[in-house]
Amino acid sequence: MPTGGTITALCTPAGASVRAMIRVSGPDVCDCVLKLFGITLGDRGVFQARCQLGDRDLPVQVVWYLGPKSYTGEDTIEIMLPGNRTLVGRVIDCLLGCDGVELAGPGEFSARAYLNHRLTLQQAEGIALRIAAEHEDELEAAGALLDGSYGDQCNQWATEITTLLALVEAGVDFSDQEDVIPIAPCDLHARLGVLLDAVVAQIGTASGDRVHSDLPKVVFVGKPNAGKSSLFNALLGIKRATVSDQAGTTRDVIIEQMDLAKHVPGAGSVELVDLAGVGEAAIDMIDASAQTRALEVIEEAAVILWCDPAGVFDAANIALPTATPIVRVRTKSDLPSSSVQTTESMNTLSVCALDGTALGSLERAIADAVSRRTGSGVGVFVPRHRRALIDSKDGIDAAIGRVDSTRRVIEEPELVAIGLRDALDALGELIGEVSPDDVLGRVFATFCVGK
Amino acid sequence: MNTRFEVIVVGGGHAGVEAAWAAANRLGTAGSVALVSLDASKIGVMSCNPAIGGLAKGQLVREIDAMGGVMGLIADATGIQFKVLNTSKGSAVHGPRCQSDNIAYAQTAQALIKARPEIEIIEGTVEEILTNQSEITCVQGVRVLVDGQERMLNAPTVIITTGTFMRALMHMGSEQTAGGRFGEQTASGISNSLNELGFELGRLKTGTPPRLAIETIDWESLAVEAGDVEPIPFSELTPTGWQLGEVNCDQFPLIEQVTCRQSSTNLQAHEIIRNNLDRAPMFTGQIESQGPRYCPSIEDKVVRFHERDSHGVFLEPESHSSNWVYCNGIATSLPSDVQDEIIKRMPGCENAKIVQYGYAVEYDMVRPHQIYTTGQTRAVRGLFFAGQINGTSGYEEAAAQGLIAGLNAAMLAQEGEAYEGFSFGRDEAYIGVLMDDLVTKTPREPYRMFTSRAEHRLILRADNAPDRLTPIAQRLGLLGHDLGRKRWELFTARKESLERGRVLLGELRDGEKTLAQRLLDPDFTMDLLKDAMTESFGTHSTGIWRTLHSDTRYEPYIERQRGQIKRNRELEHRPLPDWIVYSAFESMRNEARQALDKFRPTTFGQASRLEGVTPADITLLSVLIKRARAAKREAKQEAAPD
Repeated sequence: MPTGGTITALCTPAGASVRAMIRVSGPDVCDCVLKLFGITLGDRGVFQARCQLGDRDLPVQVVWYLGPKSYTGEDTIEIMLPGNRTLVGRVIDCLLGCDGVELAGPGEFSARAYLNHRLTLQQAEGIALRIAAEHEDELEAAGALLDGSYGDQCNQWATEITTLLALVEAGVDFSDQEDVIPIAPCDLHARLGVLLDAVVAQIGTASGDRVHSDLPKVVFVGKPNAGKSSLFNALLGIKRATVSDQAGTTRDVIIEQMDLAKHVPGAGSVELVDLAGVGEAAIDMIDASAQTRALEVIEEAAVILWCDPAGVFDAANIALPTATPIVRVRTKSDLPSSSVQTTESMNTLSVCALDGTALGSLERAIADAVSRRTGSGVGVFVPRHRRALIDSKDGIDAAIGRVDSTRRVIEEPELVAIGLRDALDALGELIGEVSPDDVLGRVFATFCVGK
Repeated sequence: MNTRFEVIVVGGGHAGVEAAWAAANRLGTAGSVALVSLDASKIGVMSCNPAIGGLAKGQLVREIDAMGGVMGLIADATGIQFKVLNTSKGSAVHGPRCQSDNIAYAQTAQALIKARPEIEIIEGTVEEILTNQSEITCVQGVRVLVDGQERMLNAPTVIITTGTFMRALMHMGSEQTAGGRFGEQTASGISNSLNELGFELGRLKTGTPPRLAIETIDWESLAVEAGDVEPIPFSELTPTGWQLGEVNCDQFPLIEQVTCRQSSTNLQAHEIIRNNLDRAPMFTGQIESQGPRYCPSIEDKVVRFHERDSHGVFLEPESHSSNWVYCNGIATSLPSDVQDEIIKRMPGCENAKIVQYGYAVEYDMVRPHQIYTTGQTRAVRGLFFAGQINGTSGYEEAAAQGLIAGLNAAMLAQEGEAYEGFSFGRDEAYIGVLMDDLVTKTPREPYRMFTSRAEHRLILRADNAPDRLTPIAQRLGLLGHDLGRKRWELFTARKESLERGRVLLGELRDGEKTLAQRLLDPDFTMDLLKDAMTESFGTHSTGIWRTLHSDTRYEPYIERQRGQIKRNRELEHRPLPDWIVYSAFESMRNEARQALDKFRPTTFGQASRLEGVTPADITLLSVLIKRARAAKREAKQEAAPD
């Protein structure tokens, strides 16, 4: 949480809404306004402005607070605009294009408000606690999601960047070792090119945000008596579906709307869909037809909640669509797991419908999975993640710019390394930090060093 | 014999020498510093590789020199081959290095120490670290055995630099000998003392290769490894010469230069090693402690990189006054008969005689989360640790810590209660990176500096070390000695030259562009800069040209890094009070709480670098700390009578 710079973020929920508010706080606010709206700020006040977004002009309302009389105690503007995710994303991109402006970290506005004596200790502590908890949830939810192809991809990129950085650093820190032959510029250039294309493609799929007319369907899938209906009720906070210890209680398709934004700031509404259990032999004719119907509904799912009280998630009996994001839930987490081989550590959420354990994490995982659904194939799921990918791309770009593939050796590896380090740090926001020690570890594992 | 000092340094290795030197520089009073060594003739001895500097280590030496330290001076006066490594790359990662005449090195170190009236050398064994028993434990001195007689030495500060000598155990095959260096003793009294004071100790391992008799090597048949044609010294003082006591460095290089040779191991040698792994202490379980991955033994290399059929061995003459040759690349603790067999298989060494066999040494270290970045221990006021005792390896890393500990001990002795301590930031010096890493990371192997550890390495260069640090040394009062005053004069002249040079860079042109703009192109080398500027700027030392070139070449990157540094500064230096009870922060995640409780960071910056502490934890921490402060204030007010 660096302080002192200028930060920006969306401060209203990220879904579709009538109005959205983007806050910018810090010393560069005046420069930002001048650059974005062509307006020189005077005293505090409200004014109308037009924000240039490509070939379009977006009318916005700007509220200007001169520090210290603002929420954060610093110079602050609040930009009001229609609550459309695409527009919000583009305005934030414009802001980040201004010198010195960075995306706000978790709770950073509040932290600044507190440090500038604009919040009392009680207020600040409350906010800090909530942020810490949300951050935990977010990490957990992201962990659950990263089980999917998106996480695999990020991890693959990070691994490749780490490897390339290790090769470059080996050429710097161990060039006195006859055993170490650093990577040739043409190889490095080629591998970075492949990486860049992949990341750029990924960012491309995320930028064309579509508006969905139907609410995304979040479908509960699991064997009979897996606890799907209990979880369904727990999420809704009402006893909508009939629950019993008897396998096969649910036979109809039950659909209820749920507003995730109540608990997950920035998320929209979804349809929760409870189904008959699948994956076991039908007990009667009615059950057989319920299972058939269930399989059809699963095909339409935006997100699948795969429920399994054993935490095993054996794919042998249940055919799930490969392109749909899956959130794995170990239900009935109050009961001891029946299998020693639970995959709990592998990005599974353990949830108990009875006492509400980890329901917050689950909601967050659902929200992330829903926003990931946009675009074709695997998309970027939250704006923060998209920003991380763009930063990563910029780093790779900068590194490539410093590699002359016609040369025999990399002439300024220390500058190449800066780009790679930036790219890796950006991805680190998604998959965890890769430290200099990790990079050195890779060098030691790859090369025989030590004269 | 004097028994009252301001600073007592225990140990005369590279950390001890630098600590005594820095303390003497700061104190400037005769007899204020005691240097206690088991054997005064072993002060400044190079236990392993006879070389100073190298990648990242060369930067450390330059920084020590810029701070008025002694390592660069000794290295310049005793180097027998100088070479800047990585010159094909940008100057940020250039690594000045020299081969040293190791006998001359120790003699010169001893002569320079003797020439400082501030330092008194005491030959003896430290039996106990003396502390008082009041509310805050403070060091009071040491109990020393001198010539069989017990002596109490008193001082408000004691610096322990015992290197590999604490409960040291040497291994060669199944043979085990107590001692930290071949033929020398071990220091067990200090280990016991540290245990009693409650320090958590760890154990590490390091190793050294066999030494050969030069006349038994077919020297001329081997490929030559030569130094730079135009050698560059470490110290800013050396180009114009310096003199202190018996040491007169009036030319450079001062002593005759030598070349090294290259040999290698082969498949047969590897086969011998494989067949004898059951006698290798590294593999039999006889050695349990962790050795450095960056400096593996030859048996380790053969096992881990089994696909390789040869490993390079550099043969480095150790001294003009001995026939010993250091076999760089085959550190080993295999039994002596196996070492003989390996050597015989190396080209040029078929008939070579080993004059000292390689061995491994296991030793105690104090886990370094127990010190501050000043080197002072958290548990005992006035007690400092520097060097290998903190789990590092390398002469340069040791000397850097010695410098910091010596400076801080002297400051504490002078300032008493008002002492606040001095340490470098990670953006100021490699020394800062080193100390910060020590107090925020769990050591898993002996710590060695690499340039990749320094996130601001474009700023932390060897060439600009004086610009970064000499003004700090001046401010800290480290340049009061004759050599220090001379250093300041040279620095002032350098500063003026650089300023004039920078003005010219903006004025002179190369075609359309100014030289400053031209320097942003990768093809505009330092030699081209010289050609373009000499006419109006005059002739200058390589140091000036290098800095002019690099500062401008890296400017866009440096500016960006400085922006980041500035943004982080407030948080980086925001202090964390030492009375905080982290276990009471119940709203904080367990992992973060435990990490904070163990490492007890002194700033938010340090806290943010601990393993297991996330940015969200730091936000929460800032609020919890404020709350704890408020609660403490309240409690104080209630306790105070109206």
